[in-house]
Amino acid sequence: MLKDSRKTMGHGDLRFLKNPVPLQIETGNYQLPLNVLSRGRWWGIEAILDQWHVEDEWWKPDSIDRMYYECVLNNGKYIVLYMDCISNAWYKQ
Amino acid sequence: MHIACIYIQNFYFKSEIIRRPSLQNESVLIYQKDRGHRYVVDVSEGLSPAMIGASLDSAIEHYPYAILCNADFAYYQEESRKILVRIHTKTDYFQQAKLGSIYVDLQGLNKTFQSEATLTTSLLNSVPDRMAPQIGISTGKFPAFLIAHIADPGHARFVLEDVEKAIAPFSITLLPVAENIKNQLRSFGLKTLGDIAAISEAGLQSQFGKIGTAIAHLSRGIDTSPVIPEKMPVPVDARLAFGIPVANIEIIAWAVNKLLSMILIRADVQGKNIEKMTLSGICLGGYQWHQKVVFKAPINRQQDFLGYLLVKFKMLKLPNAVEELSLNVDVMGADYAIQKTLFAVQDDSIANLHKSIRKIKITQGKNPIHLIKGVDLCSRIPERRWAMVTYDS
Repeated sequence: MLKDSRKTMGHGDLRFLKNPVPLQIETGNYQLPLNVLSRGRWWGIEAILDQWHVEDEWWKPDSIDRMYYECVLNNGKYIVLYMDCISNAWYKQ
Repeated sequence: MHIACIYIQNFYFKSEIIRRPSLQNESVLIYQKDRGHRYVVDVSEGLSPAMIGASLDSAIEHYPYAILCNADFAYYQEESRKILVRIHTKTDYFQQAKLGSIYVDLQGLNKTFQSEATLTTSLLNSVPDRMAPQIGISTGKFPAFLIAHIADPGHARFVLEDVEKAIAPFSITLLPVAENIKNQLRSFGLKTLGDIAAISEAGLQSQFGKIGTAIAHLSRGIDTSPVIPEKMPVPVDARLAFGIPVANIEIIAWAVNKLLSMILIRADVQGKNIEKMTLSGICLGGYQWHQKVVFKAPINRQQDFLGYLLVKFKMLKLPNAVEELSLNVDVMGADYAIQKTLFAVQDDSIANLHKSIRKIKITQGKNPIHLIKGVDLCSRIPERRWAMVTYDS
């Protein structure tokens, strides 16, 4: 049998940007984020400006099901968080 | 020169009442956070205006049962913009001094509005009744501003003669000068504009310099500064209806692109700065939706506009297929251009970059220069939109 001389397929040196970063979150009623642990300190979420749901690639084993929240922290900074509805883990993006 | 000042006292509080009528008869403190400090930016009617600017904690000591409300400046600016749009239907010569305070140059309007009564009614109708605007009409911006303060809510007051006498009782707090200047005036025993008007212009100029001349004129009701017209966006829209309701994203993307082409080809849009786009639609069954995109920097490529619109569209969860699409665009009047270089420096810089990369590869063994490329700009998943690739790949 002939050997397959091709290289295994992959992205090569392609690196995607804005990858999600795992984050520790305290939630309140209705699973809404209340506090965020960032740089060794807890920050309160002052307001949730927007929220939206992204559900995609359902045909893949690692499908995407995320609930996004655009928030303002109590130090005035903006942050976009999401909760992975499959693993219930929180990420920053 | 006749100038009108439309003054809305406690503008932030009155804007809050429009969306939360339950606050109408409550004591409310509207505050803002700045670098960890919270201070009051507005109060409800009945609370002392001296609280404005004070720290929230000291205001709460005075009014422990007041409702605390976080300032929403984006909403207040939107409410102010609606008022400016209504004034724009009557005249182009208006200027927003700050939120809740608008100057209107009345030149030429006397011919459109046959009497003073119809003119003032028209200006009052530009503001929601709940805001109870006060209008002052005088010979300059500053005296009009002062007269507006003593007009009855929902009414206008004219002072076109003896302006100096009319504004004499006003406190120097209302002068548009720095606080330290006002403190100096108070230290001289000058508490009202009438006190300042009694002093010669030369005396004030020798004490305060150029500002002294301005103070001397303003205290006498002389303000020759013109009303600088606001740049208002011109709305442009295009509409498209589908013969059969559509749920396919590619067809919708094609339709949005078609709407963009219809708008961007117009002579009154070409070369202009587009501030905002609103994509709206109606689904089968009558469900209406809209998504707004605000552009903070000028964009000139249709595909970039399309990319932003489709990203917003994909965030929607529509219950049914789309029957109709419309695109509304706010075009700012000023022309914009992107300056390109006159010289062939760019070719040299790319050749230099390649040379540097070759050198680095020899010394470090790899190319550290990367290029950021759009992979799927319309993807709903943020990490799929952009990727880094090695520069010469």
